[in-house]
Amino acid sequence: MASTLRTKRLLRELLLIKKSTCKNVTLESADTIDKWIVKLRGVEGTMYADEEYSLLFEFPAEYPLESPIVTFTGTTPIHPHIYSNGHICLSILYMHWCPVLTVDAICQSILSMLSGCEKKVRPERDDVYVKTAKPSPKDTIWIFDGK
Amino acid sequence: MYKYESDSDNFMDEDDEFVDYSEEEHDFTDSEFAMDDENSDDNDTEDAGIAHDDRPRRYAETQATQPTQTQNTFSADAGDFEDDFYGIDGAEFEPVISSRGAKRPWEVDFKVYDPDELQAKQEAIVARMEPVLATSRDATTLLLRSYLWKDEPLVEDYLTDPERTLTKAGVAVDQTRPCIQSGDSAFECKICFSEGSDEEYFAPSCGHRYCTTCYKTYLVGHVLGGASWRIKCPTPKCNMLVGEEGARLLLAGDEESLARYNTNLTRSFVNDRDSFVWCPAPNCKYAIECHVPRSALRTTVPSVACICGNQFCFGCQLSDHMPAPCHLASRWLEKCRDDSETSSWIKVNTKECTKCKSTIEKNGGCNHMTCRECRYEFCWVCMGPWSEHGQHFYNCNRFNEESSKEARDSVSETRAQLERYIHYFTRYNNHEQSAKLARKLLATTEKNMEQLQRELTLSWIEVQFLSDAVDVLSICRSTLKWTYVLAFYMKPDNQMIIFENNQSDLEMATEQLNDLVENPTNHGAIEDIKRKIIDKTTYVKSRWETLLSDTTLGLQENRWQFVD
Repeated sequence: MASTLRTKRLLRELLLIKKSTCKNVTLESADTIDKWIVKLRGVEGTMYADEEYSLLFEFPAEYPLESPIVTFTGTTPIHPHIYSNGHICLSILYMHWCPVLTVDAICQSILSMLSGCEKKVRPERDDVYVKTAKPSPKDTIWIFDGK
Repeated sequence: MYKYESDSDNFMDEDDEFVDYSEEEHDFTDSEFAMDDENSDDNDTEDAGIAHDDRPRRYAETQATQPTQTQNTFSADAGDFEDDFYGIDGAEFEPVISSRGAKRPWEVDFKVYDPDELQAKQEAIVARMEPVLATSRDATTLLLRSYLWKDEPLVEDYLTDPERTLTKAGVAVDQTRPCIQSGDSAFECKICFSEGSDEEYFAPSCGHRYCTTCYKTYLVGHVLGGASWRIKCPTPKCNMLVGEEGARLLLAGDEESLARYNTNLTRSFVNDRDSFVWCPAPNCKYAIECHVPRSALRTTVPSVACICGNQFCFGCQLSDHMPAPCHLASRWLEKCRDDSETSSWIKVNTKECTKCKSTIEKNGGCNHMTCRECRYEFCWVCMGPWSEHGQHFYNCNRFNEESSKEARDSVSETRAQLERYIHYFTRYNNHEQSAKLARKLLATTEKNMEQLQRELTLSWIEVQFLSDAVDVLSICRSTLKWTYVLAFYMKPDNQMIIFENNQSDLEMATEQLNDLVENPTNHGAIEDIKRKIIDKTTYVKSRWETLLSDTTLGLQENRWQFVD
């Protein structure tokens, strides 16, 4: 039951993202249905304008009831909420995930997170985190700044 | 029928001093007799068993009664303790003695529920509140649950601002009933992106519709994770709860999830309420209701007994620790975990540096010690400074020098604290061990009882006195154990001496009873032993009751000061 739901939903999302007209979000590759790479392009007029980054999406079996694993691959943007191993501190990816969110919604959230940045710095204690963190950011216990 | 005078085992009998007692005390003897008379078939034995009952019978007419030794001592030299000690005016004292069936001072009211009764209880509360709030049953339930079943604040909030109360609790204001529908061509499930009029969807009152399959998968996921009424609509930022009605609609047919959902609901009912706890015994399904507030735990020990036989404290769910209140009991247990074994070893094998108080073990060499921490040099024998020893490396003959005495005094203070702790700990531990032995004793007792039945052709009921005695022994051991904890934290004053006297009375009697039960053959013919055991059991029981009611009262009156 869950797997047909997942496949149906992912195929649909794939279609939507391919058709998407937003030039900041483009699909780079989706060789298998479980693993996508999406290219993000910094929004004009922000600190990340014209910079390009790759986001890796891995979809667990329980998707969309469970959140996908989202990390940056290759070069990672320098941002106070993004660790140099690609882990992103964003509540909707972990605690505040809900099945109604989509790949596109995640990309838009990350773009807006980048756009809102005022100072390009790595998070505090980045080096310690990178050394000790488990491969999946979902195994990290995140504390989110309340807004 | 036997003569009271022959009952020489009761140590009360040795006491022949009498003090004049007031009218009220006379009342207390009367009430005692009243109780005995009610208690018809075993009347004689009961009478003889209460030691202070034996003389009063003879002295009642002359108005001089003889209560316990403790009472005697204190009323003799400090008359104003009397009232505190017994709460002596007849009305207060009465429940202790004439307790059959009535509530005793140290007992708290509680009720045991099985899961079905819990369910019924929830339904009853909802049914009672439904007309008050004038909302649907589903909304009433959700409101009650989100107010953690506190009906008064709920009614107050609801009557002031119903809409706000509903929204805050996560209940839809317009109470359309949730339903499963299909046939809307504009419908699209935002989870699986299925669309069209063929799709069957769940429409809850918040208006966020998802296809039945997605909604059910979402719901089952949460239910298996232990959630019940706190499951929200899957839409981001929508705080509406999936009510019971909707959940049952979605889970219909899935018996396993439905059963789990019901269990979770009951579980949260107990967990959300301060006046309910689950019995902590393994695999026990019962919950206990008791209305002792958290704030009263320093002065009350709410000991409750589950149907499964587990006796525990309602306040902290540790096994019964009457008469020590929760905060002292948990402090004590923590202390025991920390340092019981270690501290006794330290005490035996080490001394403290007189200057920095580091603990030092001497494992060889001469008496000239140099503290590794502070480099202070001292003599192991007299603990005085080494500088005064000259060249006598191997012996010390200056034990009584002033400087050595001072040094020893400073050490002995910290040692004294340790010794104090060990004093209480050994006694606490003794009773714990003896309680374990008492359980073994029960097994042998049962054998003894069978033997008695065969040998003396006594009936089953006639040999029950042995098992009664063992039962009394176990509860007294448990109580005695915790009295040492209470005493450990108590600041020494006159009130504490009274408490300790009570404690030692019970302890002495308990030990005597233990001896009687354990070695019955040392004490004469069977009829004689039987009488002695029954007497002693009754006496011990009455001492136990006195101690518990006295400590209960004392805690409520803040009679003792406790060390922080």
